[in-house]
Amino acid sequence: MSNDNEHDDDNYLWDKSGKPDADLAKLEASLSTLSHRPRAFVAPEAKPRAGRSTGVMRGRIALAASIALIGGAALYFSQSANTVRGDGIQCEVSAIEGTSQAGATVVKAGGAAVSLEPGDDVVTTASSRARIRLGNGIGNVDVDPGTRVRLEELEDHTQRLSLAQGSISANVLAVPRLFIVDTPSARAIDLGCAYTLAVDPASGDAHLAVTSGRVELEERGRRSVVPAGASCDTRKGLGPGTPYWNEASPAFRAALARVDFEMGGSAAMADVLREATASDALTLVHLLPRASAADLPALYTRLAAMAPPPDGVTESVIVGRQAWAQQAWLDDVVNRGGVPDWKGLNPQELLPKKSSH
Amino acid sequence: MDSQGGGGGTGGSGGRRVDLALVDAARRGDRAAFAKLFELFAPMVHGVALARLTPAEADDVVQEVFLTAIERIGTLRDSAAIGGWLCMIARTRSIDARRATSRIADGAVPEGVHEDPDRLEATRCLDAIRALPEAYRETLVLRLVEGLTGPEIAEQTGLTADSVRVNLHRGMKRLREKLGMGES
Repeated sequence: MSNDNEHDDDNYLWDKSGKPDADLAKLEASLSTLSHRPRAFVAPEAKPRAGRSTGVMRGRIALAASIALIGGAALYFSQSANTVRGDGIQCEVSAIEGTSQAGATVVKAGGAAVSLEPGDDVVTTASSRARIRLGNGIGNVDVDPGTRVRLEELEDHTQRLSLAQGSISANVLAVPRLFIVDTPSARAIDLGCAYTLAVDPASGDAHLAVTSGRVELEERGRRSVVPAGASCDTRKGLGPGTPYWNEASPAFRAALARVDFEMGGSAAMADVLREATASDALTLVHLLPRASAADLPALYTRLAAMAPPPDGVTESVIVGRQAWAQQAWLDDVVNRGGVPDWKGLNPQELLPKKSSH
Repeated sequence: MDSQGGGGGTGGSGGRRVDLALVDAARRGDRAAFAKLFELFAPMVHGVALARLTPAEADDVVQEVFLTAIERIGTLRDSAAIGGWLCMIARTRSIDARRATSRIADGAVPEGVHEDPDRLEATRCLDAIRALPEAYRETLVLRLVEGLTGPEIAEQTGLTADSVRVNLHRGMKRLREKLGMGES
C-alpha cells in the first residue's frame, strides 16, 4: 500500500476522516456487532449505606441487570430516590477480633461500631484486629495487630489517616487522590485501589504492596506510581524507593535497594540493568529521573528494549532530562493497567520502530 | 499528564463530548443528568469491560459500574475527571469479574454464537484484540467495537491524545499481523 493509503488509514483510525482500506472497513463492521446496545439503567431505590454487604450489592446488580434486559431501550430512573450526598460524613470503627481502642472508646469483637473523629487513634493489641469504615462509603481499612493509626482528616474531598506503626489493608473505591495515608517516610495516595501498607515502628520505614488498582507514593520530591502486583519500599528521610514487581528476583531487588537507599551509584545501576528481566519496565521507567547523567544512555537502551517509548521520546530527549518525556514514558508503562503484558515476549519484538504517523 | 480533560461544552466529533454542567448536576443528585451521563459513557464503560470479559459479562459490568457511580458521584471532586473515574471503576470491576469467573480463554466462543457466522467472525476478531498488550486492547475495542473516535477515547478515558493515537497506530499494526490482514 502507498504512504497515502497508510496516512488515510491513520486519519481514519484517529477521527474517522480519510478513507479506510477494505480490510479495516470490514473489520470495523464486523466488530461493531458486539458494541454496547442501549438499554435501561435502573437506579437504586434508596440512598445506599456505607458498608453494605457485597451479597446485597450483587443482588441489586442482578436485579438491575435483569430489569435492564427486559426493560427496552428507554432510560429509567426512580424519581423518588434520594440524592447521593448524605447529611454528614461519618467514619466508624468496629472490632474484627479481640479488643481494640478507638479514640477514648474500647471496641470488642461482636460489639457495636463506634464513631471515629479526626485526631482519634485506633490502636490494636498484638492479637486484635479492627476495621475502619471510611466516610461516604468509599471503602474499608482493616487494621492489623500491633498497629496505631490516626484519623487526621475527614472531609468530602479528603480522608486522611496517618500510620505510625503496624500495618493496614485498605480497600477503597473513590475518586483518585481522595484517600491518603501518611507514614513517617512517605505519603500514600490512593488512585483507586486495594493495598497493604506496613510501617516499622523503630525506623519509620514502610513497605507498600498493591493488590488492585494503583497507589502513588510521594515524599521529598520523589514520586512512585505502584500498580497492582507491585511493591515499593520507603525510607525515612529519603522517601519512596522505586516500585518493583513482586516476582522480581532477589538480586534485582538488592541492586535496586542500593540505588534507592545506599547511594550505590553507577555500579549499583549497572547491577540493576544486568539483573532486570523483560518485565521490569515498571522499575526502569521510574529510574529515569533518578539516574545519573552517565547512567541514562544505558538505562534508555535497556528500557526501550522492554517497553517502546512514546513518539517523540528519544534517547537525546531522555538524556537531556526532559521531564515531559520521562512522564510520558512512565504514563505509557503504567497505563498498561499494571499488568506487564510484554512479559514473556521477545524484547526484540518491542524494540521501537520508526513510526510514520 | 493528561489533559484532554473535560473541556466543558458539548459538540465535537460524534456529539459525545463531556458536558461539565451535566456532571455538576449529577454530582448534586440530579437523576436525569445522571441518566444522560449513562447514555454518554456506557459505550466507553462497555468497551473497557469487553476488552477483558465476554459480551454477557461486559453488560453486567456496565450495570455494576453505574450502580457504583450513582452511589459515589457525590465524592467526585472534579467534574472533568468523570471519564477517568468511570474508566477506573470499569477496569477494577472488570478485573474483579475476570478473577471471579476465569471464563475468558483464547478462542472461547460464547453460547449461541455457533449458528451465527457473522457473530463468530466478530468474536474471532475480538479474541485477536484481546491477545494484544492491554494498552492496545482497550483502545482498539473502544475504537473498532464501540465506534468512538480517538479524541473521544482520550476525553472519556482520561488518557492523553498522544497515547491514544500511538496505541491505535501500533495496536492496529499488531492486529493486522495477527489477523493476516494486508499492511495498509
